[in-house]
Amino acid sequence: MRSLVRWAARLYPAAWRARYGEEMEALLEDVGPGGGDLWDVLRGALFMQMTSLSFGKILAGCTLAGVLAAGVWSLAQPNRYVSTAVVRISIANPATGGPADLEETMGHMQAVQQDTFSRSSLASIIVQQNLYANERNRLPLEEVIREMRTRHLRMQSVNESGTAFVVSFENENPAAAQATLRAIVSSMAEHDVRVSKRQGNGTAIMEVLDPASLPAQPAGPNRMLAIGGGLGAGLVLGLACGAIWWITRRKGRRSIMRIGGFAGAGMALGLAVAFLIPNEYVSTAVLRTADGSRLPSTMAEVMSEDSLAAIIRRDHLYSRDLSRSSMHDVVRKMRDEYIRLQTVQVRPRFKGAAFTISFRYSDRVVAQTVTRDLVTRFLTITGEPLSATDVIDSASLPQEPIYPNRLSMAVLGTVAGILLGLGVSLFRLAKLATA
Amino acid sequence: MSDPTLLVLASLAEGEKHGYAMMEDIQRFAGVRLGPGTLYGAITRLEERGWIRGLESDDRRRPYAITGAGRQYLEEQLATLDQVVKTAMRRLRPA
Repeated sequence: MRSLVRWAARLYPAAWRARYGEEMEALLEDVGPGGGDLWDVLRGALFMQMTSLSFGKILAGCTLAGVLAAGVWSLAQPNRYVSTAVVRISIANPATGGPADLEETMGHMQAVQQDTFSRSSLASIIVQQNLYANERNRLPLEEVIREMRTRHLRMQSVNESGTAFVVSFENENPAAAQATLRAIVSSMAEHDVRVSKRQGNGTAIMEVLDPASLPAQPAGPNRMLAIGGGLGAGLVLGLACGAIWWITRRKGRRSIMRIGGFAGAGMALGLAVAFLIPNEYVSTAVLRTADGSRLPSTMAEVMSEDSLAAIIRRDHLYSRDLSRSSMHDVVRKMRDEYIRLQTVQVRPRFKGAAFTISFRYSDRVVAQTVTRDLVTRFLTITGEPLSATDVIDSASLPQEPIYPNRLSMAVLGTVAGILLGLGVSLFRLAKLATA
Repeated sequence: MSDPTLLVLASLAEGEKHGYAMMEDIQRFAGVRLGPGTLYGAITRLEERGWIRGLESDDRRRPYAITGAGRQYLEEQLATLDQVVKTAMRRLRPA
């Protein structure tokens, strides 16, 4: 125990040890320290370290901690490899025999991309290539596909005419990145044929100019950027901690209590607000029509008061709102706030158009049911039906709420509380100085 | 009374003492055992405020003595405490 307590005594600041170190050691020899003394010495060392701090030390310590944490984090991240392939699409005009119109080629390519990147197509590639094994264990496949589509899969035009594209896929394993990209390019070729048949345009030829590469060098993570981020975050944290230290040093325990109290109250308020707000889920579907010119009128019909009122009645939506306001107001609220129709692509000279329908609701199953209802209305509308409309992605069943983000709200409340506590303490210090 | 600074001042009011002697003395007259960290925390604060001073010594066990300012501070604190004790005792007596 004595050696442990002597070790604890070394935790005092160097300046303090230079003055009192020998005396303290002699005292420890005399008393024959026990477990209680170990705790007492540790507490004393911590207190002395706190009182010997300076604004510069705090700032430097936090910045160093930020850099170290970011460095360790970035080293813990696996390398990411990007495999790339280049494909070109050309369509022969059946009338002239020459190349088809550029708009038509672009429209064709976008249709191929939409089909290849659709939920069902990517799901089969994920299963076939055994990708995202860990993610699939903890997340629904829907989320995994969204992650793949938005973060790891890219398609970019590389020439001015927009007929050649770089397709890339990112993975931790270079061989898996290459194999997956090969599967994606094969899937594009299959969809190319299907789109040609469906749209009845000229013969589309998809050439693979560069096959899927086997990446030798990792493309990420950018460790320098992560360390830079850690440096910035450490500086901000250091400034905040330095300000707290500066105030508490002048007003001691009362300021610590005040800032802590405000931070706790802010966190409690943030959490209370977050838990009072009901969860909201979004279900989304993607549709494509061969004739985009009729889309605005069809959308207007689907979103009409009669159409939405029928959905509200059928799915028993907004019963509380209906008891307080008229159906007209509830429909308007549903149309303006809860339904989102977004056109993915409408080209002036390309007739086709793809669009997403999403519906936000507090019950995830109801959100899916209503989105499905809206999709059905688009397909069966009687006024001006859309020609050759197909569902690329059917209405999704959301697993996680998109709102509210409770952790962010709690953090925001805590930060606001700390800032308010700091503000009040500074105000009181200024008032005391004036007095 | 468990304020370590007052206990150290009260111990040194009798005469100069090193750390271990203060610890033993305080335990004897107040029934409180100050840990090494608490004792040296109080000694550091008291020396910074000029209420005690360390004496030159060849031994590692440096003795400390109370200063005039320290004595005055102790007297003021004890007077306040005395007032509190007297009032409390009077109030505790049956009417």
